[in-house]
Amino acid sequence: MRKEITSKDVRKFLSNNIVPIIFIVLCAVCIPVAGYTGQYLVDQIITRIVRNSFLVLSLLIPIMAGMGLNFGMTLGAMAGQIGLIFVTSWNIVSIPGLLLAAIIATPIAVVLGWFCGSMLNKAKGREMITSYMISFFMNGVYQLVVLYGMGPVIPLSNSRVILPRGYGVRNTIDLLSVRKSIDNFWAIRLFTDENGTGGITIPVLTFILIIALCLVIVWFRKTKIGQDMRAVGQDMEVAREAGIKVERTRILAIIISTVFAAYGMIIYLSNMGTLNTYNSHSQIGMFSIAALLVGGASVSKASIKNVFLGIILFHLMFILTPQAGRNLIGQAQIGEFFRVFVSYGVITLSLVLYEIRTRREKAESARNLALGQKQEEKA
Amino acid sequence: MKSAKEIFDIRFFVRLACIVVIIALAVFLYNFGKERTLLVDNWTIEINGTSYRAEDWAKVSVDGQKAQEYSPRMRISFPLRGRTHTIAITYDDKSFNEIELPVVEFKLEHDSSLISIPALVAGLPAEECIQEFIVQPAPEAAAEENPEEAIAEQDAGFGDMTMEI
Repeated sequence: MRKEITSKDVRKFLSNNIVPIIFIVLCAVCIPVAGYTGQYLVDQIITRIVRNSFLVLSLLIPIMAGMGLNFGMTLGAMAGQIGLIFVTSWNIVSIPGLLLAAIIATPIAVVLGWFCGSMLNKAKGREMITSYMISFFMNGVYQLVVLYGMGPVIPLSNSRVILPRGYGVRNTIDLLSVRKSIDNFWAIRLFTDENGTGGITIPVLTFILIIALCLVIVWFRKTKIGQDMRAVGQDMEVAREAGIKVERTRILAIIISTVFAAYGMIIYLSNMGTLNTYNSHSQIGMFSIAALLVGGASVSKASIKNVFLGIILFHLMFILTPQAGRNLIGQAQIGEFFRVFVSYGVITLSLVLYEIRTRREKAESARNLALGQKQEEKA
Repeated sequence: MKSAKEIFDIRFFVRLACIVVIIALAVFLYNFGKERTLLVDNWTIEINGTSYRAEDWAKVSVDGQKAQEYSPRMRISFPLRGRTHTIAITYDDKSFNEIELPVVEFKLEHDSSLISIPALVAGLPAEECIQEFIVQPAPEAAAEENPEEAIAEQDAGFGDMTMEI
């Protein structure tokens, strides 16, 4: 028998998916205004998926462990950047360079993740704001190390990396030696013109890596530690009663997320080809979180589906809005404004919706409890 | 307190082995992936008090790559991965006979090195024909960047909110 769809179901669906729905509507409006070809849009979206997936996927595990959105992923991004600074200075090129950057970044990310996780254990219930503030604090430490430590204390001498004054890393580092090395290792080009230009490029190896990470996450959920994380995410006290080491599990979730974020940042920057030493990491957390939320995730629930839907919608918006702005009012800058207020707006909206939903659920369960008690009394 | 037997259990050795493998992999990647610049140079050069005149014509192939033709006062840069490389030189003698030198194997010790064709043609060992090449930054390139200023210009990390139009 088919279940009838009531207005309540529609309302529930809309309230659960309001953010992706808003974005789908916005994209549908912007696509004809921007006037881009379908081929161009598909190519751009593939590039953005390749660039951002790893970073956004790194957010899933802390959500699973009930720690909300890990703004501390910036710490992993910093570790990834430090790895890239080293390999650029040593002139290690191509895929070996990226692998070595990942090896260097891993212990740094583990230590930073452990620190962040330990701090978050001391601020249970306020994980998101705490991780946000930790990212600012660690940004200061990162700047201190990179600006004054690299050169005299950490021996780096390559003039492409170190400032002419002999200490401190340059504002911008050219990553030409590793640029797109994973993407170009095995790339398929479709629909190219006679000159072999244009068309859609599919970086197969990068996609394999992303799919592998997705499979790891799916597998991880089924492992003992994955189940423990889910139990901790649902109710810490119940998990503790069941013999799960809650604090250790939470620290592990953050460490895994930070390490994945470091790898994600290496992939992201290798795709971009430029490292903005003092800025690149600072906004990556915000944009990754916004992308995840746009995909329909919430503070307490996120899936791989949300990651990809979010990246597609969020970045489609950024591709479209500058051109749409130029075509509408002659200002491409509107796209940049859009990027900022949409990111923060989406995060705010998701947090508010989450709070409303939680309160509604609590009220509903209280009502059901009261009703049950009344019925019991009557009986 | 844990006993030594408890600390040095199988898990400890598995972890230790993993760390050793990762360090070995890092060392391998460093050596395999390191790119050095080799400048193959056809300038008149003086080594140990002896002057070696630039060749009028030479054809040089590094690591079996496509051969490049050289005239006097010519220098070509090759980015090379790894430490050990080979160079094959063909040159014209005074009677315009094309002479092919046996392939010379050499090691690069520095990030940027210069190898002299006239010295190799004269039969000097490869180590004597190679010298470190130090790139002097152009004066305009050496102009001070100021990261502190860039950081100070940044907002408190709250994104592009301070962006001007």
